[in-house]
Amino acid sequence: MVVAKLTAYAIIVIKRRSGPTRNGRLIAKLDAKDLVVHALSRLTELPSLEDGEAVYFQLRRHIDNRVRTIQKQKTEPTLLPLATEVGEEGIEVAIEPADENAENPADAAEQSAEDDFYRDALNETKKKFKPGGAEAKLTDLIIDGWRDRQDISELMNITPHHYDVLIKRVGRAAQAVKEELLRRKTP
Amino acid sequence: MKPQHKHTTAARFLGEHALPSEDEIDAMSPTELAKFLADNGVDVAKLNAENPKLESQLKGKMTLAWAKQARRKKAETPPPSAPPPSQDEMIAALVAKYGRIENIPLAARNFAKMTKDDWASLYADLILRGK
Repeated sequence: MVVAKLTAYAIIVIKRRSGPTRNGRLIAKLDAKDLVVHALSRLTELPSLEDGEAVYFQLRRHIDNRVRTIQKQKTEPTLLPLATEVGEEGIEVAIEPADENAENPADAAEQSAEDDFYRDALNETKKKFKPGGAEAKLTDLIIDGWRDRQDISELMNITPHHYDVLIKRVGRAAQAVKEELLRRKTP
Repeated sequence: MKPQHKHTTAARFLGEHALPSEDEIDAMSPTELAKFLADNGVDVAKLNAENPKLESQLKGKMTLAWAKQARRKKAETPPPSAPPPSQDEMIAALVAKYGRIENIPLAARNFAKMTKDDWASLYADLILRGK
């Protein structure tokens, strides 16, 4: 039962963190059971073990950490232009390097491509429902940045319970479309 | 939120509502869990066949980790200190070192009025620290 629950947990971590970026595609290809086995192999490195529940939570953290590490790893190194110029007395001096905290153009391009992917995915999601229906309206409100359950319910003139049903339905459709697009667009 | 990434954040928000939470997984019955795994492409029969092996591996790892932890705790615990000597034992140690009480350094000679704490201090200075 523990292994089955950990495998289910690994599945949701993979689904949450997979995406159209290079690292996101690597995550999509991960095997949930392999993540559980890896988490088990990390168990001997624990500083303390108190009870079974603590071990279970520790194993879940190992699963999440493994996937997060892949998600956050740098795909392109940040390159800083370094050059020299000739100073007043004919001595070569280094030019001040550019700001090393400046956004890497490669990262910015990847984020832009990621947003295009999700724009297409959300458009596809809306097509799964009646045009102009509650699901499409909810999707548009969420794209516009609305997050609060009460606010969205009032804007849509629906009860919070109806919102819960709708968000689950739209969420599942969006997740299914995302996974389908990832499968289709992964070389 | 950067406006140019609004679709990414919106899709992630929707994704959160599509998947069961950690607590929902914990609350699943064995049948619900098996259905969730099967719906997500896990060969449940194969997983069940491998379960005893993995769970025994987990128990083995836990036993090993507990043994390591116990060993670490033991290594960190200082050895029990010896009980402090009695006043007679302290005097005996001082006499053994200096021959007679009178040979004890002048500052400490007023031993007729010395309390047990004074003796302990003298013992610590002259015997334990070897002054």
